[in-house]
Amino acid sequence: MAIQENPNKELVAAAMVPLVLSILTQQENYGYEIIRQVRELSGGKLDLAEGTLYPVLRKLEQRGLVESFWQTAQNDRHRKYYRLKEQGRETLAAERTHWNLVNQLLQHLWTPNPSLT
Amino acid sequence: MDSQSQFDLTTAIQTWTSQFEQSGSFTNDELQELTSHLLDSIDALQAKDLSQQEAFLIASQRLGSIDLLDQEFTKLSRPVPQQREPVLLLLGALCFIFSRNLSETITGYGAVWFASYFGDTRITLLLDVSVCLATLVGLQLGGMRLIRQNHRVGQWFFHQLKQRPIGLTVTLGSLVGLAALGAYFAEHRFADLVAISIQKQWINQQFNHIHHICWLGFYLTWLLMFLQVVLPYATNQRLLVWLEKAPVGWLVIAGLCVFTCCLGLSIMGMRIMAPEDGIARFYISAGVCCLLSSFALADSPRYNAIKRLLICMAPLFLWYVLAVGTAVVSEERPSYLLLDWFPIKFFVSAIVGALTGMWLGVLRNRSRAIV
Repeated sequence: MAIQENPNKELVAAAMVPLVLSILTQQENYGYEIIRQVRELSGGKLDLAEGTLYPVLRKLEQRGLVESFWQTAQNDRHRKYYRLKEQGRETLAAERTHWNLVNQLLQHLWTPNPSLT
Repeated sequence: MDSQSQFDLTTAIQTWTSQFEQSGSFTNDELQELTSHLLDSIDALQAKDLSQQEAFLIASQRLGSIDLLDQEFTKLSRPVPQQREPVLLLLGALCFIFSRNLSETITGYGAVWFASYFGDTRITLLLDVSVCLATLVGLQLGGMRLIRQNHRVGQWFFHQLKQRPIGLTVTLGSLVGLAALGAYFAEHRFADLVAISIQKQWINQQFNHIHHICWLGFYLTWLLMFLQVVLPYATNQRLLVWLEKAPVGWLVIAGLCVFTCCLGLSIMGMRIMAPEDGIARFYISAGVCCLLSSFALADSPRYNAIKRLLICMAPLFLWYVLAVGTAVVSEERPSYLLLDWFPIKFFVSAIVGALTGMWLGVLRNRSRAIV
């Protein structure tokens, strides 16, 4: 079986919410730019499925984690921006704990066991 | 050349957007957002020296096929569907009133028109019967064939329902108003005709009976359509599958409905065929009702043969007790429900009907098993 170069779809889907929330902590942003940033920061290895980002953003909005507003860019293009709300920050903090936990566990399992013999 | 390709992009985006509009799963807001994303994506690709067409193709592909997006967006719980349910109920009621008024207009005016043209002949009666039947069948078939998601009328309906529910309700409401006006005049003309035919001893005194049968058929059609639509919606099962596993209480109620329908039909039939002695209608109705019920339940995994027989008989027993109870209280002379071995004949025909239904059910299962 070929080794996948990029993370599989399920992992990307699971990481979608913390990724989006983390990008929104930096500044308010719109969908296209969020995807572009994720791609750039991961060196092109992590590609969010473009069409599935918007339903996720809508769910985050429904859960009250983010709020949205329309803004016109310099080239007269309407863009829908998303801003992180207080509840979103709290959720992100919780997500961070969980992801750190998983990360630590995996790191621990993957480091070779030091043995005396 | 440049203006030509610019024009192409605009139309391409319009076509792309209209596909999404037709699917009806997207709000205007979401569509605008997706379009803005597509344009950003196209700009970025064009900056990499791709042509407009290439950029559009790649950008729309990256965004995802309409099926995929439709699937993702329909998963969202929206505030719209919650509002849609009362709207649907209201629309259902409006459709009911509209089609009732429409068929009243057609059948009422039809009878009057034929009578004025062909006079007091059998032709008038035959034409009246055919118009009644054609209206009934037309409504049923038309309603079922047109209001489907893959038909143009159905697509328009569901699109309006999602995008402009208020507009749709108002449109339908005004149609109801128009049809009501038509029905009002038609009813008056028809009542005059019936009065004339009674005074003049026409042959065509059956006008009223025919129209009563038509109305019974109309309500039956609606009951069936209601069951077809509501049951799968509420229980995710088809009518017959649901019936096979339904609790006894519901089955008895369903049996009562079937029995009253049979009784209604046979009353109308008897009035035309044998106006003097109508008692046989009860036996026929009991037999037919039990036959239908036990045939419908023949596959039931929940009830064994004895229980099925009892379930088929229970509604008739209930009806008989109620009928005798009211007859004894309200009628001074002995009721025909007690005379002339009525209960024996009634229940014997019911048992015969139920057994025939069971037998037919077994035959059906056997032929299915062979296939």
